[in-house]
Amino acid sequence: MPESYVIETRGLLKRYGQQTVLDDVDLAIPAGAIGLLGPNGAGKSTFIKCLLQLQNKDAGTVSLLGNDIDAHGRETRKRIGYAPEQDCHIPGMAGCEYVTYCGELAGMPFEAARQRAHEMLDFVGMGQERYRKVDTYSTGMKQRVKIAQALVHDPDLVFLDEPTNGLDPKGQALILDLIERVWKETSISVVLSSHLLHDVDRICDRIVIIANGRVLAHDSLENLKKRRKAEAEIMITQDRERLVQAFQKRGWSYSSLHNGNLRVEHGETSLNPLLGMMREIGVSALEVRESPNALNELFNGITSGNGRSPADSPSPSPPQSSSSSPSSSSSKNAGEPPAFPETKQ
Amino acid sequence: MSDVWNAEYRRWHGESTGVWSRRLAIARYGLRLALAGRVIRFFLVLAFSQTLLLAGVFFVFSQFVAPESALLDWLEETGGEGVATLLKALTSWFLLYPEICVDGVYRTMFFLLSFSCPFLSVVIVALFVHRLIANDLASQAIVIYNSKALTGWDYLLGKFAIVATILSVVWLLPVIASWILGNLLSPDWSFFWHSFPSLLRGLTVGLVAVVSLSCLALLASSLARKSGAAVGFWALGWLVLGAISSAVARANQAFAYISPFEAISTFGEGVFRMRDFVMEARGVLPFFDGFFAKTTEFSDASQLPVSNGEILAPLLSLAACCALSILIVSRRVSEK
Repeated sequence: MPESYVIETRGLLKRYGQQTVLDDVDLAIPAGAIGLLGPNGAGKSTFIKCLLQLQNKDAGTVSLLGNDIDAHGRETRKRIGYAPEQDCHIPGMAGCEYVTYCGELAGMPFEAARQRAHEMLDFVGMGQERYRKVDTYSTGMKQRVKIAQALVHDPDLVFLDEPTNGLDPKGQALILDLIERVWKETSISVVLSSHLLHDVDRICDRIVIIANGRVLAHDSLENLKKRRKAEAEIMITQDRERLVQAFQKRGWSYSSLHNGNLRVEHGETSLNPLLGMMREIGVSALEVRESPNALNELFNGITSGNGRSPADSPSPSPPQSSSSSPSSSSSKNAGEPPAFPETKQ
Repeated sequence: MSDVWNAEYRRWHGESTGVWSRRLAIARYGLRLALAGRVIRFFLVLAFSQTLLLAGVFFVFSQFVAPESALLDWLEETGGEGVATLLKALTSWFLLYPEICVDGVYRTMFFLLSFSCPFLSVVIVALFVHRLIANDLASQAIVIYNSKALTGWDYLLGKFAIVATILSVVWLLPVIASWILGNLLSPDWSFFWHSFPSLLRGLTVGLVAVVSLSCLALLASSLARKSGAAVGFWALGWLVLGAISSAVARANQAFAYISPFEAISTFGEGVFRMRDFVMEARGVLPFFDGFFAKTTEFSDASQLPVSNGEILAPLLSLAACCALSILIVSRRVSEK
């Protein structure tokens, strides 16, 4: 198995009693900054825990950094860092002592671990607080120490589970900056698990979307953003009938949304033919908006509760807020037709 | 702060340590945390002071056979003629039968040590039992251990080393250190040979006690998710098991070994075999019976309230206890 895939799973299955938390997950993820996106309870943390053998999987195989985790779990984890979502410090230990200890647990000699612990605490922006007991830290400091302990042994792959949880916007920005630097400056692959699109959108170059234990999408961020359905949503108050007749004449299927807007499947790669047609028949709309890109569409779909990919669902996504102007919407070109869910790269 | 924030990330290219170093790291840090309190250090000093007490007894004993012993001279001078006669008799006795006397003194002292150790063990373990596993479970630090280059068994071995090291100060260190000191202060190298079997007996009982009590301490710690609960499990465990053991032992004596202390105590008797020793001494030393008749209420040495105990049943009971503890602890620490 080539190590070009930092994570590879086949048929990964995890159940809690009758509930299936991970359902036959097949993934092959190359090195990079990987965003694991999904709503709370989607199975992101369980997925990471199964990869790291923190939870026993019910079926399937897992390879990390090219090594079968079942056969070489302990040795493979030497090269992996993990910052869990919850607090996990050891009571009574000072920050630098805790990170040093984690370095030793990961296989570093004491002297190297101590030096490296201070380097990592510098890296995450901890000052003299490092000499205080971790029990007394604020949420932001605890998050930083968690990241420091995940990096102290210089891993090749780091899992960060909801690292911005509980932080104020400034703290979130600092942590995201830090994570971005880890991948960009060191080429350490980072798996960032989050339920916030903004977090992964900002720093990840590859996205895995999980909902209800299934991988809904896996692709590069760039590709996901390019992909759109050839649809448009039109906000119109006058000449609605004329527009509908024009759609029928051209054979475009359409539907009326709850908010009174029209959704039309124009089948074109951009909005220009639709806008041209509206000009020809003399219909002016308040807003013409192309369908959201695949990333947004998937994310909106799962966060609105259906947890299904657009390909699974023929019904349109809930309407978006109509704040953008027609000009800005129509300036974007539509990409390839959607092909979700894609679970193998 | 901004300078610190801009610190560069440097890769580390050093050699990784082996798995035993990682296990030792767990033990080292755990010991540091466990010994952080003053009370536990006081009790450990108290436990270690048994060494000095034993060494003192061995030193006094060795003075009976030492040529030109200042201690004997002083005792004879202060005690009068009766004491001088008794001391001369004892000295002759020791010199005639060193294999019985030397071994007897060491064996008796190590046997007596096994009475104080359980109490000290319960108190000392109660002072740090919550720091073994309960704190890791409560603070979720167990996740960190499991995510590192360790297996659950590595974690348990490290934790076991913590409690075994501390209990060794109670059970093993006094035996080894007093034996060494006693022999270094003895006038004759033959003391080493004659006292060696007693050392082995003391170490055997100590090792069994340390291993079984360590497993039980891990069990008590793993059952709790709060510090106070761990101490409660440890203390109540002994009370409940002791009570159950006393109750069910009426039906069958073997059930008494439900209590680990009862099992350790009986195992100790089986290893030290004090009744055999007394009977052997009576056969070899002509005035042994008479000596005991004068100094005790018993007319015959065989009436002494010492038993030979048994080895197999209590050992099996302790082994079962350890196996059960390890099973439960391993499940507790691997529960997700």
